[in-house]
Amino acid sequence: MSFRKRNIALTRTPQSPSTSESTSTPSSPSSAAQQEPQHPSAPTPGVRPSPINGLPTTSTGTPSLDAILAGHAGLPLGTSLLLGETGTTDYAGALLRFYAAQGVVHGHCVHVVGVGSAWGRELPGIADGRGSEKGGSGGEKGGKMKIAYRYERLGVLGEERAGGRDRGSSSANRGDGGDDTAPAVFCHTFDLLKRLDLPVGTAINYIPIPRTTTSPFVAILQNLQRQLASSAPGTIHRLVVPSLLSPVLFPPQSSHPSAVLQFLHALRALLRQYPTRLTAMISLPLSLYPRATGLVRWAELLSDGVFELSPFAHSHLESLATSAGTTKDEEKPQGMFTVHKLPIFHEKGGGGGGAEGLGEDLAFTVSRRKFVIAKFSLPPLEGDTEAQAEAGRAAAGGETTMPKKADLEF
Amino acid sequence: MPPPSSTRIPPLLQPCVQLPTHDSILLVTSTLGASVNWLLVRFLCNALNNPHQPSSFTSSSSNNNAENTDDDEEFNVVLVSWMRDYEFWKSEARKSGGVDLDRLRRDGRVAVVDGLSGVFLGSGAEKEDDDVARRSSSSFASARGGVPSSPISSAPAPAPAPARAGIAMAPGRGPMTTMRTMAGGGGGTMMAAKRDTAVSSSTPSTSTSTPTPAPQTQTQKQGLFILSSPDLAHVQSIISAAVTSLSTATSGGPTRKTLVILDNPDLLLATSSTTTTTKNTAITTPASLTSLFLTLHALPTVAHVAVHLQADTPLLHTPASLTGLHQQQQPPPLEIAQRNLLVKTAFMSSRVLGVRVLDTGVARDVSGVLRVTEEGGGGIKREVLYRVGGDGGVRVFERGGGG
Repeated sequence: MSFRKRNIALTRTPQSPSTSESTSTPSSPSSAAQQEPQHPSAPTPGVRPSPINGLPTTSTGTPSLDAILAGHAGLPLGTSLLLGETGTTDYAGALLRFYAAQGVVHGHCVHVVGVGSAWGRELPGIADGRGSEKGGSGGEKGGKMKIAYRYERLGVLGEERAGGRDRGSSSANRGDGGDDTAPAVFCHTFDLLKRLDLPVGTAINYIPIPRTTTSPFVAILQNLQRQLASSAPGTIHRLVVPSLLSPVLFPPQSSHPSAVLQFLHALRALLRQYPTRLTAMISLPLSLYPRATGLVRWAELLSDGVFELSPFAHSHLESLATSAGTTKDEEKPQGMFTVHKLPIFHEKGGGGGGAEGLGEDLAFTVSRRKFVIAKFSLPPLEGDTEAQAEAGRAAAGGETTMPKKADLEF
Repeated sequence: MPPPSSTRIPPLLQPCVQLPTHDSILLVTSTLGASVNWLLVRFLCNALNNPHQPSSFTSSSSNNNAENTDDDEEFNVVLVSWMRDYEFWKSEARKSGGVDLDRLRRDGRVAVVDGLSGVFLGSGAEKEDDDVARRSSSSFASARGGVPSSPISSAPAPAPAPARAGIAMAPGRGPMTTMRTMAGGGGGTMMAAKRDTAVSSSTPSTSTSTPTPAPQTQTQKQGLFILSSPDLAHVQSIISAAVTSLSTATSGGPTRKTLVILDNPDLLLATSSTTTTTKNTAITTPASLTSLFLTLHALPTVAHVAVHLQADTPLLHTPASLTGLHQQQQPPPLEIAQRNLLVKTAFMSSRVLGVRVLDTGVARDVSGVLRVTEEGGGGIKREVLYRVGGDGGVRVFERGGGG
C-alpha cells in the first residue's frame, strides 16, 4: 500500500498528467494531508521530521527498514546503524547499497570507506515506474519505454503485493499520520539489476584505507571531518563502511580494540557534533568477529542501532525448484533479521513509541527490487498432506471434530 | 506536559536513587538494550533536589519524603559522560526530570565533563602530531616511505600541517558552532587552543600530557568541561577542576557536597592501547581506573561517586559465556579487564543497581529489570520492573504488579 501512495504522490507533485498508469490505483486518504508534511522537508531533500518527536530523519533506502526504526519512519540524523551479518553472504551489503544509492539520489554527500569506485558504479538504480521522473535522469525514462506492457503491469502488481505486506507488518507505525504520505521524495525504490547514473560531480567520496602501521582509522576520520567542514552547512552526509574489520579491506592492526573502538567512539562524537547532517551505516562480518566477544559488544554499544542478519542455509535444489514456480515462492524469506538496538529508542531507556520489530521474529527477503523485512512465521510443512487435510477438516467442521476426539479418548 | 506522577521519581525508585547518608560509591550497570540513562537522570534530579519536585508524594513514600526533607541535603553534581553528549543529557533532564541543566550550570550547581566529543576525535590530530614529532626527530622519511600509495598521507612533509589545520578548522567554523552552541562551541575553542599551542611551539611535542591550556579556555564556558585525552591523569585533573569549580556555599548551612556521576568510564579501558605502543597515553588498567574513582571520592567536597559500567555478558567473559566454542582459549584482555574493573568497583560500592533486559524476551509493557543490592542494611536485594515511556517518564513496579 505504501508503494501505491508513493506512486500517487509522485504523479501529483510534478503535476504531470502523462503518467496515467498510476491514477488507477486506489487513492490515498487526502491530498491535503499529503502535501502537508512535504513542506518542512522542502529545504533539504530526503529529510523529514519524525512523526514521534520531530527529529529530522532520512531514509535508509529500504522502506521496511525505515519502518522498524522505532516509529521514526526513517534514520534520525546524527545516528548510526551497525549491521552484523553471519555467514559468507552479503545481504548487509545490499542494505548499504540501497542506503548509499538513496543518498546519491537525494543529493547527499556519500562517503564510502575502503572500497573503490567500482562499488559506487554498482549502486542500484531507481526502479522503473516510480521515482524515475523524480530522479530526473532521462536514461531511466528511455529504459522504461522499452519494457513491454505485460511486464510493467506485473512489476506493478508485485510491488503492490509487497507494499501490502509491508504495510501489514508495520501498520501501527504508519497509522499515526503524516508518515506514509511523504515517501514520494523520501524513499525511492531501487532495482538491483539497474545501475545508478551517478551525477557528474561525483557525489561519492571514496575514503581509502591507508596502509599504515598504526590505526588506519585516524586518516579516515580526518578525511571525513575535512569533508564535513568544507561542505555547505545544509548538506547531508552519509558514511558507509562496508565490512568493517574485514581482513580483505582493513589491515590486521585495525581490529585491535584501541583502533576500532576509538574510531567508533570518535564517529559517535562526530555524529553528535553534526546532529543534523551526518548518518552512518556500518556492516560487520559476525563470522569473523562473533557477537560473544567484548570487542563486538563494545562496537554495538557505541552504535545507535544494531541489527543482525542471519541468512538461512542455502539449498541449491530448493531454489531451483522454487524459481520455476509461481511468484508466491519468491517471497520465501532468506534469513532472520534480529533487532538488538534501535536509535533514540534505546538511548532513552527502551519504551514508549512503536518499537515494532523489537522482540518479533523478523525475516528479510531480498529480491530484485526490494529488501523487505517482515514478520516471520514458519510456513506449513510441505508434504505433510495428512496434517493439512486434518487441519482442513477441523476448520470445516469445527464442532463435529471435537466430540469425535472426546469419543476416542473415552 | 505529562502528569507529574509519571515524570518524577516513582515511589519504588525513590529509595534506589536516594543517596546514602554516609559517603559512598554507587555502581550502576547496564547492558545492551537496557540503557541506564533514565536512572542516571533520576540520580541527577534527586541530588539536585529539584524545586519542582512535588512535595506531596503518595502515602507509601511519605517516610522517604520525610527523610528527604529531614536531611534537606542538596548536592552539587559533576556529570562525566564518555558515551553521550551534553545535549542529550540536557534534553533528557529537562524532559523526564524537569531539571534545567543550563540554569544550574550557571548557578554553579552542575558541571558537565564531556568525554565524548574531544577524546578521540581530537586526539586523532594529536596523535598525528606526536607521530610526526617523533618521526621528524628520528627518521621521518623512512617511516613515511612505506606508504606512498595512500592518498591521505602520501605527501610526506606537508601532510601533517594541512591535516592538523583541517582538524582544527573543522569545529571552529561558523555553521557548526551556530548549530551546536554548547558542545561544538566548546570544542571549537578547545581545538583552537590546541592549534595555538601546536603552532607556537615549532616542535609540537606531547601536548596531550600537558592539559595546561585546556582548563583556562574551558572555564569560560561555565560548568562545561571537555576531555581532550583518554589519559587518566588528564581525566583526573579535569574532573577535579570541575568539582572545585562548583560553588559549595549554601544559604546558611553546611557546605554542599558533590555527587560525581561517571557515565561509562569503562570505555577508557576498552579503548586503551594495551599492547600496541606505549607512547602518549599511559596504559589504562582496571586498577588505575578504580584508583581514579577512589581519588575522586577522596576529594574534599565529593561525597558520592556513582559509576556506570557495562555489564554485558560478552564483555565479562563469565563462565556462562565460556560455554561457547572457544572454551580453551584464554579470554581476550578486553574481557578480562572489564570483568576486573566491574568486580573491583562492585566490591568498593555500597549499592549496586543493575539494569538488564527481561530474561524472557521483549515485552511491550516492560522495558527491563532493575536489581538493587544494598550493602549496608544487611544486603537488601530486590528486583523491580520498569518501563520508560515515550515522554521520558518512568514507571517502576513489582514483578507481576504492572497494570
